[in-house]
Amino acid sequence: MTVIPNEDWFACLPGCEARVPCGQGTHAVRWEAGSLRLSEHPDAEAEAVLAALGGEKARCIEVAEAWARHADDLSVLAIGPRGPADEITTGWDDVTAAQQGAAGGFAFTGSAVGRRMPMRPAAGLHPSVPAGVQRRRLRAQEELELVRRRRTDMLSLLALGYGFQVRLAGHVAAAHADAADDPAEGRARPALVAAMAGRIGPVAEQWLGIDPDQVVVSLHAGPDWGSVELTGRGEQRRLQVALPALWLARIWAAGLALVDRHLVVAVERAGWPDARVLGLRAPGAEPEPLEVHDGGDGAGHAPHWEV
Amino acid sequence: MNRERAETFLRLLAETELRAASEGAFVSDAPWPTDSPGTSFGRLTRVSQALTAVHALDLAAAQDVLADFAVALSVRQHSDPSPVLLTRPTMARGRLYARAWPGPPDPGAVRLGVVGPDRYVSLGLTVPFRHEDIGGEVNLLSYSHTSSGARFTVTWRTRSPVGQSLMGRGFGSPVFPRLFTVSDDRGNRYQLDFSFTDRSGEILLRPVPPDGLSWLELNAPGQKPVRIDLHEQGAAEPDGGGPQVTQTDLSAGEQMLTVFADRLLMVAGEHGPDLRRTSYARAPLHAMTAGLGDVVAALEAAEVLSPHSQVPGQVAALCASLSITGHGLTAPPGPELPERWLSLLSHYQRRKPDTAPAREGHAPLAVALPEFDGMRLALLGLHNTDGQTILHLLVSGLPEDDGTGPPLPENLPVSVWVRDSGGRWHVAGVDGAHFSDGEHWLRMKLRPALARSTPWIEVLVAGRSAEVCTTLPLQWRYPA
Repeated sequence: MTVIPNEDWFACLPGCEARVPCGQGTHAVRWEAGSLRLSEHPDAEAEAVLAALGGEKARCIEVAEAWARHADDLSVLAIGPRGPADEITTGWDDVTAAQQGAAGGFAFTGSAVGRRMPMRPAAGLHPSVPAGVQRRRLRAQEELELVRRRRTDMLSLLALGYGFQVRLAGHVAAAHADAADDPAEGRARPALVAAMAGRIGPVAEQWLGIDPDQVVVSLHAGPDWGSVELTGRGEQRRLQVALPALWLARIWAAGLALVDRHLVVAVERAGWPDARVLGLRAPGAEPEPLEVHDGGDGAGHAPHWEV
Repeated sequence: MNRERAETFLRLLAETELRAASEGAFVSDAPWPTDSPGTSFGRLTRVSQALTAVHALDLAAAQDVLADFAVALSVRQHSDPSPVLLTRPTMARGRLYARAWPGPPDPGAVRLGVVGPDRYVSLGLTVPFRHEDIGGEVNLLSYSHTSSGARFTVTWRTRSPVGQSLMGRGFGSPVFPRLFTVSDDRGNRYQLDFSFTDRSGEILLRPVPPDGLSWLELNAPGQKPVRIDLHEQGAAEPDGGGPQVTQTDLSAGEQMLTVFADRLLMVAGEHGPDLRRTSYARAPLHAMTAGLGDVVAALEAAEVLSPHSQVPGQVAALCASLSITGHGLTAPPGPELPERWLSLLSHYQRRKPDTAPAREGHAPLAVALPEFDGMRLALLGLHNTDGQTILHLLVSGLPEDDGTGPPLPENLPVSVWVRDSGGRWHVAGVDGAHFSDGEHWLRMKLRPALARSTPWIEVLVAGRSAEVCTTLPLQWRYPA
């Protein structure tokens, strides 16, 4: 069965919205059709320029910038939720605490683990410190600053809530899906395989009662949807799953992975709140077309699909 | 080597650990210590170290996986990953796994058996000195002139505590470099840089002497000048042969596990018979071997260790012989252990330990071994000091420690063993090192110590592509 999607990967996802503490109040940040929208910052670009010139940057702008920085960052898949049950309750207080912790910077000492101290520029090191050591220390400090900023970014993006978390994961998976099909170009393949395993494992457990550690995932390349087979018995029992990387974006991120006890492997007609998908009743079975409908509460953050 | 599968293995392991944490299986209050194999992070760190050691995974990629895992765990447990993130640059500085040589290099590029143009002269001279209240002697074991300069490998002793303090300072010791002077047969005079660890080390000559010198003269305070003949003498070996080179073909994973086993035997030697009696004595060995099953699985996934290799089974058998459990190795204990491992195990398992410490003495050596695996090694001296046997080596061809990999003492990609004239094997472990102009100067400690009466030894250096074995007579000198 050939499945060639021609819709955007997010066609089965409704918009979603979060409230972000910004300035003296809270502002709405909205995701709609693949884009982040800051309705209360109509000229976000101008605000960003002003901030670059020394002005204070609005948190909404920071969030949007973080979103853009990480929309193809595979770390999002490694950190973000594996499913609705994998609750990540990061709040804006956590973000603020992380920002304050990072504000003073850190000086890497190589041994004083966890000891915070004001960052000193390399030029301030004692002249007797060899140049090579100074370079390494400076490089280590820069790396640490980068690590800390990434963490603050991640916390901000997680604080937007589950709906945004899975949509961002969809962006990342879609950004790498084409390259992942090519083994020669697929530097992202290990991260995508792990991301798929981490997400399809709990789904398979719910579907078949199999231990997620017994699910073996590979990336499928080709025009068809892939394969799902059950092999072995007892401890040697394995669910061999080969699905394209885009499954993460089009199906998992849209909350479509398991509908009416069917493992959804492809989308035939994308849309929200109605779509037609291909679902497996059992491993090794032929996929069945299913007309599905989002019967959730309309909030749209996490669609609840039904046949 | 399959780098994609290596990274995939590590990332899937992270998924397993994160799932366990989310399901509450991970209950440690302190998930972060990277050195503790009992934590999720420790498990991942060990595998990362192993994969980076065999070059199946970039250091940056390993660090990214570990950092992502730290953040992922922290946001689920509301804990602060800063301690881990702060140590990020050192995550891959392995304490356990020697970094495998990037090779074996292109066979056409291997200069197997080639000895370089460097100059090594066995000396065996004792030079007494006296300055004010300080008296003692310097024993010149060898002279070597290589690309990084010219130097004597020495031991020393003094009869005064003040002298020990001054000599023990090593680099920059202000007194002795000025007291000793060296000149050559062409009238050149040299400054001396002392580099000592405990009571042995190197005395570097500056500037670098010209080639072709016939002799040097060492002037020690309170003594007549001592003439040092630099004519090279052929090694007088019992069997009359030079170093024997045997080609081997170890995979990177086999080499890593073999060197790891050497280190295990080295550490086990610190406790000897206590290993069987107390779990306390085995604790360091348990810490070293925890997670070894994960490491072997990772090496197999990365295709740097064949699933049919006997080495994991041999390591499992070694662990069983040392009463080590909890390593996670699934390979059945190997069919046959290497003779040298058995020799050491037999020694460790004796009911009565050696009670007499090795007596003081030194034996001059100056032997360049044939090049293999892109490395050249030279043996520059052997001595028994403070009950321990130290072998001095010069290694060229190793990369400089740039701070991103395991430091050299944990990074020597070869096994070094000594077999004494009685047939007993002694494992060598790096006890100290310094780097100069592309060359590493190593102090290797032998375990067990060598009896001073040993008339000859066989030195075995084993890498991935070759084993070099050379038999050396020992002309022991004893302190006055």
